[in-house]
Amino acid sequence: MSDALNRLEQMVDAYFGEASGMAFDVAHGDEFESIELAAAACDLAMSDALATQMPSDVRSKVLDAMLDLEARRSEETTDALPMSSVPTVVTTRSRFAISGWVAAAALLLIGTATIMLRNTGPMTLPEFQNAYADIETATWSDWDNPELAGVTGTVYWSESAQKGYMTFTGLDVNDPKVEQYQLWIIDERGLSQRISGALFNCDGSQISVPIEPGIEVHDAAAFAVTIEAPGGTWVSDMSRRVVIASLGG
Amino acid sequence: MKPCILEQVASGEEGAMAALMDAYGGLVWSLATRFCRDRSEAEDASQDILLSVWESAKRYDADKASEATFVAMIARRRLIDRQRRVRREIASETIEASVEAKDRLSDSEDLARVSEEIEKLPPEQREVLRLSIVENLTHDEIAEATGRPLGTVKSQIRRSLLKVRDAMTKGGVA
Repeated sequence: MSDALNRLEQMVDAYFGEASGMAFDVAHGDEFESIELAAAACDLAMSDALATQMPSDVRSKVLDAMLDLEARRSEETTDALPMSSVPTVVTTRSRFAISGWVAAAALLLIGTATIMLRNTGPMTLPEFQNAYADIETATWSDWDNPELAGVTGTVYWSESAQKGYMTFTGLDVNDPKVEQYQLWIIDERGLSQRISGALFNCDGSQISVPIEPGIEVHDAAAFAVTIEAPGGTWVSDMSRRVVIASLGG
Repeated sequence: MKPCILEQVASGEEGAMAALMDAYGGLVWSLATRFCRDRSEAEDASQDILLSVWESAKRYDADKASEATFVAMIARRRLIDRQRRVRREIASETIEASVEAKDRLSDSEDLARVSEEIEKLPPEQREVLRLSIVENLTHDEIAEATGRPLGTVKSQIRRSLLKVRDAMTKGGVA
């Protein structure tokens, strides 16, 4: 069986929840979406979804809620949002177009996330390894035509502590005034949400960086690093990819 | 052919949201009621899906799929996310495609092609695909319901879905 076919079959399994620890949606976004489109087309072809009407009371209720959000959208601005060191939740779809109401929702999430932030300072890696019994590890690999190839290292993640550590060898030293590295955590929610886990710089050939997401991660599946503008981003388009690591993958 | 509603939504045209609801509210409602346990949850899910469609409208590419397929993809993605989040089991009722639904398939080139591809599948393979996608059964549940080995169920689903994907790709819609 060819690697490509094998990968596609694994994607089908992942789509139906028959494979865990996979992060195909992030690693191979377009290919994974082609599986999603095929499943959606099958659904429409085999069900009566296209012939169904939404009940009028539901239509009114949902439309009112949508219009309300649309009205709020015009009242919100996103430009003033500080990004540095603030944990973020970003929906995948918002990488293409973030609306004001999404920003409003993000503000609420940030408020919650800020409250949830642990006040303890970061441990060293050995301290972290000694502190938690449920640490899982995953190794970095090149991420789908990466901007920097050949970067290696390990991710250490404790689901109970909701924090982790990551090491890198071969990451380019960055100028923080020009660009920074950002870690994204993909959990069981897959495409629907990804969580910013760290914004960091590289100042040497080998570095270790604490992972401290500001909101709860539900069964972490994968970790991915991108290069972003200084201060990080809410809405990474994931175009400047570096490495990815899948737990159990 | 329907006007491109998603373009109107993406550009923020007045009335676009109502048009989206009129065109695809039923589709979203159908999927939501199939995945959700009760009407209240289906209402929440429908709103969540339509917000996602709104947010994703700029990404729509007519060369990859029809609008209906794109909306259904977003809907299924959101519903699967919800379902996995609460880790519940779904008991679905069998749904037979209505004549009206089949007639409307001809409006969308990709759906017509997919329908044709599904018709070409051996009946048992078609049934397994339907149980998985429409009835939302797990592979284990399908194996139990049909008495077929789990490995057979898995490979039939993989083969069927990839055939459909290939048909969409070759036809220039995926």
